[in-house]
Amino acid sequence: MKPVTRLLSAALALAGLQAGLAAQAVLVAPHLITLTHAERGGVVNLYNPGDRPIEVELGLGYGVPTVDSVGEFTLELGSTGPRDASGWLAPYPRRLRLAPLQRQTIRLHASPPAELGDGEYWARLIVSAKADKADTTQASEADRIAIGLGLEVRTILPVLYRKGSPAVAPTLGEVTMARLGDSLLVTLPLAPVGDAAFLGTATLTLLDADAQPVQRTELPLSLYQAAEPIVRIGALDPRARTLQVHVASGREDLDALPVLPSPPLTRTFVLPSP
Amino acid sequence: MRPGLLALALWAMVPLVLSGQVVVSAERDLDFGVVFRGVPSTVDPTDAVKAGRIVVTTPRNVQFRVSFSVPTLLQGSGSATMPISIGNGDIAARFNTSSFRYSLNPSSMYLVTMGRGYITFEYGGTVSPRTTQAPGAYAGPIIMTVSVL
Repeated sequence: MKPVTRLLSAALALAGLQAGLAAQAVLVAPHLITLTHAERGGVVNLYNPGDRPIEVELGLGYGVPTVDSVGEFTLELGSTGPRDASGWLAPYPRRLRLAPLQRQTIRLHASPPAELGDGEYWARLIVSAKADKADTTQASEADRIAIGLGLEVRTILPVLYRKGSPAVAPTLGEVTMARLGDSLLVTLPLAPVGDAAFLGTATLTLLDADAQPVQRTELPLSLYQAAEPIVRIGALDPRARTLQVHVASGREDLDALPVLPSPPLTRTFVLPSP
Repeated sequence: MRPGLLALALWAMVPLVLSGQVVVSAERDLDFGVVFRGVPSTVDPTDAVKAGRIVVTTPRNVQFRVSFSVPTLLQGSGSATMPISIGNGDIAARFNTSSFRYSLNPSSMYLVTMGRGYITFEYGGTVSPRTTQAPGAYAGPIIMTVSVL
């Protein structure tokens, strides 16, 4: 082996060790993709930190987070709506093979209708990745039975397309609370007002009789439409008398991404009696 | 050594870290080993050698829904099939290095709010080769969906 080849092999092996030597893996970044009408597109990065080649297929769908019967956010694809951008966004390339430690930039091209109004439009990028061959144990003897289970990983990410200067602000309706054992269930009737999704954080702080904080919890928010998530505060502090709800734009995971700012809101509610 | 090749070598040594990255790593496949006709074979999700293991890493505070689609039949050559069951309790989840496992049902969806670190999914199941099972290789897909909200 030539010195250069040896060095490259060593470097690749080291990079593999640093990646944890996963058999099959895919990295997608960022986890929220924002596009602007001025640029008509954007990029997503893919990387294979594993030691197997993977086949990747990209597609687009539509769906917005809703709240299920237990008050948790969920997401179903397959619907459509007035802000559906999935029909005029296209990833390129749509299919590719990523060798171990190979990276690839995916471009999202937008071909919006000419009459598209100002505002934010939404889609979901679907990244499907699987090893290019199922790792089936070979039947070494004629009467052996071998089993191989191929894994396909689908990563679904939000895509926001912004035209003009979209704006959004959250509203908070009448909060309802219920005690359940030593827990407090808080229902937050939230809605985004404007022409964009509200990406923010609800901070729930329990205050004692002197208005001092005794307990706190946070709920990341992805509000594309009105929703009533339920927050469960466990092991309720017996000193708690009131609940302060603070809703503000921005989330810790979106620090490096362009989140639309909006004025925060704060409201306080008296806890129900035990 | 040419500077370009040296730069390439050094570039490859740097682990890729991108802002807002979601990484799904299948660190180990579910391995039933050698199975025999007429003898069901079960792998527990806590099996440190045979259970499949998938690690998901995201930035802190990311909320995502995770769901699974699992096969009920493995496909062999021609029309040969073999029953497989990955049911309630055959998938487990745990955060970081915690030994506490949440037992999951593959027919349900779960909401995950990431703290600092990662979440590990381990999965097992049962294959039931028939007494007349044809020899050969049998395969089937497991689909894991991670939907960032």
